[in-house]
Amino acid sequence: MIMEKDEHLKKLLLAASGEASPGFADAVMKRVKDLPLQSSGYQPLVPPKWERLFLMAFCILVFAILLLILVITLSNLNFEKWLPGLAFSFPGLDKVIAFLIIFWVIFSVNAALGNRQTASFRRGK
Amino acid sequence: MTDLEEAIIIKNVLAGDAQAFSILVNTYKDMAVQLSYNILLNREDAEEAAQDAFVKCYQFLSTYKAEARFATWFYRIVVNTALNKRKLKKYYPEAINEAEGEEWGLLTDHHHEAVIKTEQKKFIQLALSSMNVRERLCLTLYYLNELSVKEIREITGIPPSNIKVLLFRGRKNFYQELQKHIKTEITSLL
Repeated sequence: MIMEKDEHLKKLLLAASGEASPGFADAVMKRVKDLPLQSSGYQPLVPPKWERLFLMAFCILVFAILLLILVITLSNLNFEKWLPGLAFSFPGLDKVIAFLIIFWVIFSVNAALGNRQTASFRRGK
Repeated sequence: MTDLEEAIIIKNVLAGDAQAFSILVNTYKDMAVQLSYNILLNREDAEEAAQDAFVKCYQFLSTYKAEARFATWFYRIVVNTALNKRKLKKYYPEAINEAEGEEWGLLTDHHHEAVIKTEQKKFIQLALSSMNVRERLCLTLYYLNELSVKEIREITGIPPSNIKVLLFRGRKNFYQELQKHIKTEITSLL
């Protein structure tokens, strides 16, 4: 969907909202002069790009460790013993169950992260 | 004002030159008030929210990172301030006043010419007040402030696909509501 500009609508919106009152800038400056600036002495140890890179590397490392823990634990659980009443002869059952669990965990995390993006703006009129 | 000029002004403000901030105020005051107004639909509250946004901007200017445009960063403050104000107050938009006799002279389409002669501002405000706040916000940012969908996403946090739907629906609703109010007014006059 290509959104085209609408000069007519722009003029209508401008007509409705008008401009700032004549004393607006003075009122702001009066309030500003009474306020101290928040400390600007803070200097980051690393540039923002490096910071993001470190954060990404850290996240990947944590995720890899968690995934390994999950895979190793699940491979040692031997699900067939938990289901003695069912005579499964399929050799890859453990792997299938492990895959399903991992799939749902990742799917749930992804869905939760996706919902967070819009959650703050879900409140309607 | 170019990005470079803005960067110099910001640097001066951070160095302690509070007066340099007045250049930013004068550049963005109208846009801030217009944006706040289209969220709050109340003139006094809009001016107050815009002032609060400027004060917050000044206080937290050291946290602004030059990676994003200053306008985008500032609009986000304005939107959040106005939305918080709207949330905190049990909100009653101001009564739509009778037209103040201002000569807007902005419309060209023959369909809207009657509006110029009568109460254009009142009809537009009525049409806006019957719309969803998210539609009004997206319409203002896109059509009035001429920001891109990407910038609107950065300001509001709404996904681009939703922004496009809100813009399409909002524009349609706005014109429909405007026509409806004009028709009602004409009918009542006859």
